[in-house]
Amino acid sequence: MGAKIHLENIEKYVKNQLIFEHFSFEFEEGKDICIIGSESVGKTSLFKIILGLSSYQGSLKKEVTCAGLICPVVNKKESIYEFLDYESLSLEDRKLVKAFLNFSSYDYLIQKLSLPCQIKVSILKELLKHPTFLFLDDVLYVFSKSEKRALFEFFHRCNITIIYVTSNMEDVLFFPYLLIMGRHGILIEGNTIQVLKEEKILKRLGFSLPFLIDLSLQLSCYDLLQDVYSDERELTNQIWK
Amino acid sequence: MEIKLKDFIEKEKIVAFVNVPTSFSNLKSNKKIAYVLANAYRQNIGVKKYLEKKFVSFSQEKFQKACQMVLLNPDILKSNLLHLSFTEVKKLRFVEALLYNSETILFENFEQGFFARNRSYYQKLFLKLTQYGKCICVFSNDISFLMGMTKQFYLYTKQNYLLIHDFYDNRIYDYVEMPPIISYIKYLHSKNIQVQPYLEMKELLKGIYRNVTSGADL
Repeated sequence: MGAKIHLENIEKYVKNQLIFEHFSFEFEEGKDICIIGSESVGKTSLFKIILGLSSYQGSLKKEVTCAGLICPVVNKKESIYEFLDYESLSLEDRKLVKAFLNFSSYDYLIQKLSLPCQIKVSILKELLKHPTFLFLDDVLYVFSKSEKRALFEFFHRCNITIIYVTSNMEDVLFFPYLLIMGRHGILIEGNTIQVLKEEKILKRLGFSLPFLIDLSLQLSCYDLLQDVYSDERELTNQIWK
Repeated sequence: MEIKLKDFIEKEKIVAFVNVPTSFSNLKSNKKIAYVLANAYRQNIGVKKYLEKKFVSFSQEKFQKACQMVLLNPDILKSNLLHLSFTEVKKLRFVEALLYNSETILFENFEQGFFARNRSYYQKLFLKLTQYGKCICVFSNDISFLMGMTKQFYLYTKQNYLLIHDFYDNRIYDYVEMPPIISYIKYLHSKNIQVQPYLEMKELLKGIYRNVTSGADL
């Protein structure tokens, strides 16, 4: 049976504004989820509640290790070595460090690293907690599509379930399940492609669609397609069959 | 290599830069140039007190107008700087830039964290600010965002700033991600499907329709 994080009837105020009211949701091990939502609907607050960084009312049950990155450590004056407390790491953890970072030296000061490297070091610190769930709050924006894919594959090899907030709609296609948050809670959730087919609702909420999904839906209005495709080869083969 | 901004500043224009390694986090805004950055505020102080200390003649009316322009809730005055969200930080810095009424406003990765509707709004706002005589310097690696505002940008490559006029120029994509529309059109070209190098979805749709209905092969 997979591990779960169960939230029930969560209520939360932020700056005197009600962010969550009767919010309930369950995260399951092995089920990666992508979360999108307009500003200030509570995406970061949700992560903070789960990670124990914020107070709330309601019930939160988690018997698993969770780790998360809400704000990467940037411009820190420590070396990677000091930041990761490398000396105290086990042999297995040192292998994890090498596999993830693969730097020639860990004496580099974090503030001298490029932003992507700084973010990777911050993520690594969370990976060293050996979490079951890893919460990432829109911190991968500096990485290319292929770099993100490589990161997600790495997390999966470590048996980590990823819960990912993004403002880049192209990223949602990495995830089988999509959750759209609005004021006070969840607006829509479900299989990513099925949710994305709710084009009118998404556009009314101010979201664009991932490009190939948008193109598929619009080509179907011209009767050039009957379905939605997220792969350019499949899409092209269907248009010019 | 530190960028000498004054070499690039042009009044009433958007000047865009891609792949620039410089960070502006240690620079302070003034009447000549304001920096709208994403790094969090470090002071444990209320927003109202912070602004009153920074702007000698802080006017609530001007503040409210600036907030309206940048889509920031003016109730933020009641918040603490340390409790602002990622997008609130950027918007507040934008408000500061407007309160300075700086000749040049520099934005660093401003679009990150915003969805389509707001991105489109800010693209139009940047263009509007140039009509007020300002120079808007945009540092971004998001070519899709730049495509909505400018026909050219400076690409930092091999310690030089190369002026790029063509979003389909392959040199750009040695450094940054290709926008999905360009990636897909290049894919079609690789399959000998002739569509024009469009930058907008609606043009691509027409191009595909014309191509399919004229009976072109894969």
